[in-house]
Amino acid sequence: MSNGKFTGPLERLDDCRWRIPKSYKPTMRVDGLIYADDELIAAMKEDQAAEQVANVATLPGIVKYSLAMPDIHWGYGFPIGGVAATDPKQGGVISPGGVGYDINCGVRLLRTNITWEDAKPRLEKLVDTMFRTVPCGVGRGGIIRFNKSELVKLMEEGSPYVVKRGYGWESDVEATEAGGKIANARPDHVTDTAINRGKDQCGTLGSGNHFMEVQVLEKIEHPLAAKAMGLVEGCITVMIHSGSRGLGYQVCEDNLRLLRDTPKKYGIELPDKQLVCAPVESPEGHQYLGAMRAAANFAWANRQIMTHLAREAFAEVFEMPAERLQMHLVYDVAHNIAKMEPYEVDGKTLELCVHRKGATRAFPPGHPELPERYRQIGQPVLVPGDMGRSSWVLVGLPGSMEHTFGSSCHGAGRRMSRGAAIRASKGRSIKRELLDRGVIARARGRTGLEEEQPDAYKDVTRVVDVLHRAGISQKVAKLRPVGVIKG
Amino acid sequence: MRSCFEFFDHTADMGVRVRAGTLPDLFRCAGKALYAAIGVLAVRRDASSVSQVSFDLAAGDTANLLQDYLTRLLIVFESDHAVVSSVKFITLTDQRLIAGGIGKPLDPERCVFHREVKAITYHLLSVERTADGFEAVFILDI
Repeated sequence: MSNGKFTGPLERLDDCRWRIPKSYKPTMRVDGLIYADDELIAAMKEDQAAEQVANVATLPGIVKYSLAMPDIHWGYGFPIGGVAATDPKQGGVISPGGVGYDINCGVRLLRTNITWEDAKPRLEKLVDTMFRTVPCGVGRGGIIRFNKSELVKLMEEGSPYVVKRGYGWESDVEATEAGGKIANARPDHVTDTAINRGKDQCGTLGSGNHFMEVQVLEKIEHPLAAKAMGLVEGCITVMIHSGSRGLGYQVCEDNLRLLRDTPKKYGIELPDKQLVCAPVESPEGHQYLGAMRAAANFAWANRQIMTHLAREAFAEVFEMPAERLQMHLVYDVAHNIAKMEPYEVDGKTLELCVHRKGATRAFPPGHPELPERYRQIGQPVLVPGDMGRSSWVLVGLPGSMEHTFGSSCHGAGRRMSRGAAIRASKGRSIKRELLDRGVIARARGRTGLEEEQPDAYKDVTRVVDVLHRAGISQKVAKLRPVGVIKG
Repeated sequence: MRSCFEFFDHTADMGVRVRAGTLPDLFRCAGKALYAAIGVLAVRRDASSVSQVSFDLAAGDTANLLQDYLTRLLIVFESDHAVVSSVKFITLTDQRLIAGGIGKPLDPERCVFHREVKAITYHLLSVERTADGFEAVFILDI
């Protein structure tokens, strides 16, 4: 695969969808389907993301389409923003590359009863306190340590385990996808190397695009849903973006190594080594799924502990307990995960293995997996944008079940490489520019703010608008960043 | 002096191209590139804190062997907070690597960290013979 422009076919289906016909490559089993408007599709042609959509379409057992959300960008193996569902009964495969190294990387959102007017005078102190309280950046270990047997329990039980130990509220569990615990996790499938790599990282933010952000709710577009989530205009919210840290990265790595020769064993031809896979119903598939679920549970515990640390920081700065600040968890969603989910395909209900690599689950109203308070409005979908513009809260719509295997976008999507972002920062102070926009930023890494500057990302509003128009997810509330900490 | 490695753009991640006259130098230089991607790494000055790090790796081809080697460096970095230097290769063929190095603990106060490397991916991973020796390409997941 070259690293040049995409020159393959892209057929417009409507103003939101583009098709890569399966005739593009003889090994494609289904069409590729990309959600994008004209501007987003033009940008996407500049790299090989669409080629990766076509590559994913070659996976055995893939059902309907190889999908990409409008925040698609060039990844490794799968594109970021990719969704693929495979049918285990038709030889469908599980591919660690369809989940990514950062297993259960995801986002959670806390609401508060603090208004922007009340927060403004204390904002700098708040951001500095968060920066001191929440471990972030390369080599920063967590404040809360777990021994190996505790980590095994944590990988089995997910965020409920750390809530039981005092790092959160009972209500947090209900407001987390899958209750913060994916079933059939197998910590015994996780190597000591992975455990060792993550042993001091539960409750740490990490680096790269991970962040904790203080936001102001700027605009409500769906009052009923906003009310159910406790969101009001002008209130302060906190968004946390992180994943399974070194433990999850190593689980992916260990399993990619185990799977190196598996495609040959099962007679699977792949266009990219990073797509290595095994049938879901195979010893290798079970091995990976068990380990991946353990890492996913670690990630939910990680975000839960950071929630606890954020509440401590707020309590210190606002001089009252987090309970009085009503810092309730609105929701927590995974955007790098593979899950078994039922979907109706050609009139039959199939239990499919849905890979979401940079895509968020977006179940519609009435879905039985949703907590009672969201049953009527649909699942909250949390879509971070960039540090300077906005993020969005959406809810899933029925179209997601029909067209995207219950999935929506996960962010703005990068439009600029890290190198290009650093080059574009020469002679500028991104920290100063953010401050001029009203955003106080703190970062540990020297290049963090440059690589993650707002210009490096697409306009998230354009991204969510595509899926809003396509009937996949509906806009609920727009959040404006005012303070951010990064690794 | 010309560096033995260069970074190239890859949308969300980092591409690395390494060139060297011999296979051992290629592997050593790839290690330097990995550390350079993470930051300017300083180690503790007391000699008593160093440890021996041994490598005994087997893979189907040189590219996978390089990926295994770099992953091992990353694991030592994250788990032991140490960098490996003075690597001596006892065996290095297309499919086998036996080597030893010295693990030196980081001095975080003197380090300038750029970014966390999650993994050395298999995407675009290659090791090729060239007229001047060897060239390797790999993508770091950031």
